[in-house]
Amino acid sequence: MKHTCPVCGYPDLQEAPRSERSGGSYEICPSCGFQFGVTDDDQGVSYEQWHEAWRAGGMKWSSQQTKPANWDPRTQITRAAGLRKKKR
Amino acid sequence: MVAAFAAAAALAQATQLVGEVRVEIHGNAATVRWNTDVPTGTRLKISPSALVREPTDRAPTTEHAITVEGLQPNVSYTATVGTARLWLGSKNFSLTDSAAARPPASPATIEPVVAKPPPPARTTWGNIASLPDHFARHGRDFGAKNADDYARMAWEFLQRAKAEGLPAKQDETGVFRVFDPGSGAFAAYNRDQTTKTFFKPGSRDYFARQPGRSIDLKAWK
Repeated sequence: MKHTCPVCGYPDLQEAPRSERSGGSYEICPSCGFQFGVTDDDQGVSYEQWHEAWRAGGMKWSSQQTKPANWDPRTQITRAAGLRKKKR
Repeated sequence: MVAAFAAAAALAQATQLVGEVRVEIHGNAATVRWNTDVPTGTRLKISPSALVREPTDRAPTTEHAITVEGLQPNVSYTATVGTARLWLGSKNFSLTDSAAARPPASPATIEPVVAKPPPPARTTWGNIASLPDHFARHGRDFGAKNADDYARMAWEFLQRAKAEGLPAKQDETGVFRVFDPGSGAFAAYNRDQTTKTFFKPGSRDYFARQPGRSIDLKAWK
């Protein structure tokens, strides 16, 4: 089962970014580079702050993994906005 | 008194060399070795130097060895060996005597002890596709040279944590975290002990804020 990044909307995370039982997943989103449980819990950066910074930086593919051929950050961010809205 | 002397004489009579007298040359020194069939005192005489060595701090033994130094080249020496009361045998040698100089052949080649190599990263890192990203972000925390090196360090950190009993906690899903207060290193591992991440947190209480109950890694196999 794939999971969606609440920061950038990337739909193919390997684990749930965060769970009540296990906290952050430590997974680094290959799209925006947010590391769940580290970027937030250690560095104190919120999803919104990272999202804005990533967006301002041109929404570049963050990972050394190969970028999917159909990767579309503009479609993703709409999805991410919906996810963050739900959490509020 | 007579009986005691007779017993000592009988013991001396019974003492015999086992094998030959052996001489090992090291520079201008020689180590003379011999064995006896019963534990005895140790005495060595080197002629023509008239040197007699008789260690006083050695308990009776069947394996005897004495090293003498300051020998001269091109001189024929005789090593006479024995107990405190009895000379048992002798061996001629010189510093140029290659046969005497050669130590006894070793029965087996001694191989250097080599630590077992760590398993490859593909077996120790949980999501191998993510390893390059974790290395790019955290590898410098440990001076890792490349992704494999970084994965190896994370694996070794867990081995050390088990050996030393570093602080660790495990959550309900089986994920466990390890922290080394000395170096500040933190790692999270899956239930199967593959690595999730390995880095040095910037916040002091990061480990304390992680979910899970304390566990004793020393008790883990």
